[in-house]
Amino acid sequence: MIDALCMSGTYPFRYLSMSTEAVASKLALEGFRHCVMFNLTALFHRDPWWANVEFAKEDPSVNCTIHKLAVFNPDYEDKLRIREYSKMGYVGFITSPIYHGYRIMRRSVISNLIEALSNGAVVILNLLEDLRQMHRAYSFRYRIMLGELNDALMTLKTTVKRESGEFRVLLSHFPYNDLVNLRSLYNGDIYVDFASSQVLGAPYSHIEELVKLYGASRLVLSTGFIMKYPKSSILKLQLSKIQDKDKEAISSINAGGLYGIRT
Amino acid sequence: MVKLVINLGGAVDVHTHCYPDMGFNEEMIRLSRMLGIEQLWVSYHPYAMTGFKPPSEEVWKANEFVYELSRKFKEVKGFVYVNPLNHDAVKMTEFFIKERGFIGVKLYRAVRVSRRIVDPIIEVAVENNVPILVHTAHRLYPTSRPNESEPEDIRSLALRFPKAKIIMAHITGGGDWEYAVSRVRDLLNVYVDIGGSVADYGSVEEAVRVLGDDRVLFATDTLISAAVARIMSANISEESRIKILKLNAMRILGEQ
Repeated sequence: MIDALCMSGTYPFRYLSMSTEAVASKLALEGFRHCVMFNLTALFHRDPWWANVEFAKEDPSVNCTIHKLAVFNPDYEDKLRIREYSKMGYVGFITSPIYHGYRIMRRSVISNLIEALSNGAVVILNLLEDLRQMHRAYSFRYRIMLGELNDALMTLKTTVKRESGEFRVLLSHFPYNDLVNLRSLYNGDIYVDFASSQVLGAPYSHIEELVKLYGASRLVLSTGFIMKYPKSSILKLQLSKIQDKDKEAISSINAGGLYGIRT
Repeated sequence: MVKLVINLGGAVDVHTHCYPDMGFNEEMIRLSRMLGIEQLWVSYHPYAMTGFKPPSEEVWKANEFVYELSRKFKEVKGFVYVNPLNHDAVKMTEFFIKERGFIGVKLYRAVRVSRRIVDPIIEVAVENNVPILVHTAHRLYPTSRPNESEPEDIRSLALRFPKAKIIMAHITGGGDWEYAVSRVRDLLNVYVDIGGSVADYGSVEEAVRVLGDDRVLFATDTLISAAVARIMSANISEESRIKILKLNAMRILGEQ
């Protein structure tokens, strides 16, 4: 299996800290042979550069191969730095939470996202902040608006396909309702995961529905570990009533295609 | 993909629900059997009722539905759903415990349990030595649910009734679970269940660290995969896991 998104480092809003080696070792025990990881500390810095530089140096010897994502504040980067990240071995980029203050349709943001896409996969992360511990008035404003996301995806897809042909974007940690509503706006290529608690914890057939909406070749298995128990996503997939070949694709093949990982 | 091999060894799900839709109930039983869950403590799902203060007739009917389900599936043990605002709430509680063999009481969002109006119902539970499962929110900023119990309300209830066996529901049902468990730390008659949709890493470990492994209970609140993932992934001893999955629930019922 490939874990399409996990993280190491320290989460600042409750006591939660784990080394890169410990994360990969735990995932290996769960049956993952590859994981795609970013650094939590970088995610919470407005300028993630130094945390990314430190993370790039980590190379623990574990049974689960680590593929790294650079945290990427699309309002703060420039093209030179994006290329530097690629030279450091990062296979892609994950966007900073929107509460860092950017708008996804801003011209500089779109420009940096296009540059990132030409250097790897891009993960657009929905709010990772613990919404449940925030006042509703604050939590609401940090959501990515679906209309704006649709506009951004359309712009990115058109531009990237024209220039390089590869459009590898994953929407991660989006609530089920957002994924459903987005599909009525945006019908193009996109990868999605089911790492949101609103999908993992639901009693309903959300995986089956997401397969219908996005296609089995566009779902990936992200554990969201260390924020979430890694078995949550695995069990959700195992207990879903989709075909075994689709489970196989979702648990490894699709993420391999997204990040260019050979299994 | 790795094949599913999980056996929870006769676990007790202390907090789950049934719906009018029998297809849902049968699927829940099927999954429970597949995963090795032997007992389900079931109350009627409040969302399947017309509101959070349902009238007496509706609550009687809902509890009878649970009773019929318990006759059909041996795993199902009834919890009597009570709206304390109903005139016959005490009579209903007694009837379902004594005549229908229900093993607990479920209180939802009609009124906070810090209110004295719940006391006669709790007295019935204490007399019959059955647990009281209280729906509890763990929000730092409660704004829209004025009648929903919070950990402070649980404290009030537990201090008024030291002999009551109180289960503070779903610490992983949303909210600040670190705060929630810390508020009931010193109340030895309060248990917490780990049901709910939230898969936050460390939540089970924190409950065990603060409360000890004797006061944490396995539950799904119908959300089976998240609950099973939590208990199977938690970094706790096997002894603690077995207590949470089964032994603590049996002790509450006096079966151990």
